[in-house]
Amino acid sequence: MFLTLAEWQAVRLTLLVAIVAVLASLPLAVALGWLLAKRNFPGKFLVDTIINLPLVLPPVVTGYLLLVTFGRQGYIGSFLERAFDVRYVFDWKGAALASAVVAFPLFVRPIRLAFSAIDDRLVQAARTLGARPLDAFWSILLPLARPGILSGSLLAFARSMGEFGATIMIAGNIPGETRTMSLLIYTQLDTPGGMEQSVRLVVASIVIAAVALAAGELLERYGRRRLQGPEFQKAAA
Amino acid sequence: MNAFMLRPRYFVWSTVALFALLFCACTQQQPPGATKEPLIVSAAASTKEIMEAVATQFQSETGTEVKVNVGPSSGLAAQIEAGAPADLFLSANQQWADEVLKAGYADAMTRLLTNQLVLVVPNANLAGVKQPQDLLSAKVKKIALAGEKVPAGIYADQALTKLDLLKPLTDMGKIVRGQDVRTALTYVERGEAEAGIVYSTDVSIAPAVTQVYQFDPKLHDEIVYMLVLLKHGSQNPAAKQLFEFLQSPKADAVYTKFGFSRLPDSRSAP
Repeated sequence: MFLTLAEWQAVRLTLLVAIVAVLASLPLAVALGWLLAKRNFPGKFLVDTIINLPLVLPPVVTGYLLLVTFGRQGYIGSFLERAFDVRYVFDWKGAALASAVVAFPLFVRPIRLAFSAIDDRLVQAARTLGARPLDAFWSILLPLARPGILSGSLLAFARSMGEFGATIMIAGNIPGETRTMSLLIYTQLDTPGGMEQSVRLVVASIVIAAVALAAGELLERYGRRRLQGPEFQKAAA
Repeated sequence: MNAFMLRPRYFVWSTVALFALLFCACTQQQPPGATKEPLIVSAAASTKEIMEAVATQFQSETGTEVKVNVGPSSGLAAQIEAGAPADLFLSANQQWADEVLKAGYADAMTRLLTNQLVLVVPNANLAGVKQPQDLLSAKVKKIALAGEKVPAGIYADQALTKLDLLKPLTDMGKIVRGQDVRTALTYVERGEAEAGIVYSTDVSIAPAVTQVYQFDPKLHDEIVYMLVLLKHGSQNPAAKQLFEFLQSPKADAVYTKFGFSRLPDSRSAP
């Protein structure tokens, strides 16, 4: 086997955490991206700042804040544990939460840019033709913003895969449960002779990152071709 | 030129000036009276308080500043092997001191301190843990230990194995590993873990934690803190002085104050 059992566990866990983090924050990222691009409201600057906070805060600080909020003695954490027996600390869900929060600003940014690039008159035209606002969103805005949503998802996925500081604060470093690839490499390096051991995981990380990037690139090209429509494809050919 | 045009530029430059001032203020933190190169001691996490206390004493007596670098002994050994410029190394077990010796970085070493392994709980002890067997109960969801390669974690694993508890607890998914023994202690302090295994000396610095059980020393290897004079420090008379100072009666007073005891067979430097 190229990787040991512990390392395969870490790879599987990292992929699970990253995919869940991206999927769970997708609706919120799209909603906020649209809101920030298309609407003005009092407090918009505040919302924008809060969303971008994880980008500038050291991840350990983000992890600390998450711990204080979602830990057993925190506001949300104690409520969730009492009501639903859901635990974030020392659980893979905590790792997913940490990754989702840290990657969120990178997720929202391209989506917001994509929405703001869409001509408002397209939506107005749809409305004059009788479409309700939600219908116009689903059939006009969302498809046109797809490249931005895709690129945001890719960035968020990549950032989640590399997350370390916030994860180790809230999820701990439990083998099989919360020991992601970054955490396992760190643990290996913290022991004499660990550097040689970590080579395998480092190679695995690079392979996964390359595959994700290639997939994103292919999807983007496919999406662009579809957006341009059959007439443009024939003209370009 | 109206006020509105000036505002953004003024804001940017005043922020830059503020950061520059903060930076200057931060770099002025030289301790008074420190004239020579500071010494660096890599010390096991559980010895943070005693090392800092001894360092202050040493500095006031000799004028040499001592910087204490704490962490898990395994991590510190890895740092030393990677070329970290530490002068002394205080390892919480023999293994990591021997590792450093094998790698050729040690000049001299001596057995210095010992400690006790204990089971601790948060003060409220909602899970009602009184002894190791209670860890199997469903009320205990997480038990905090130091990492598998960290001395405190190794001693804890040995004790739990001898009590036939390690495998069942691991299979139940209850074991949480902290980066070092103090991280494990913090997990118990915060109530994230219902119990933890740390040193008896850690309890005295954590008021939110209560000791409920002391492990029989026969259940684990003898807890030995090895003091190592590293090659980097062997050419430095100040480092040699500190090596001796850490074995002197003055240092003993600090060790006793925090609950550490000297190993019975370790010699005392005059």
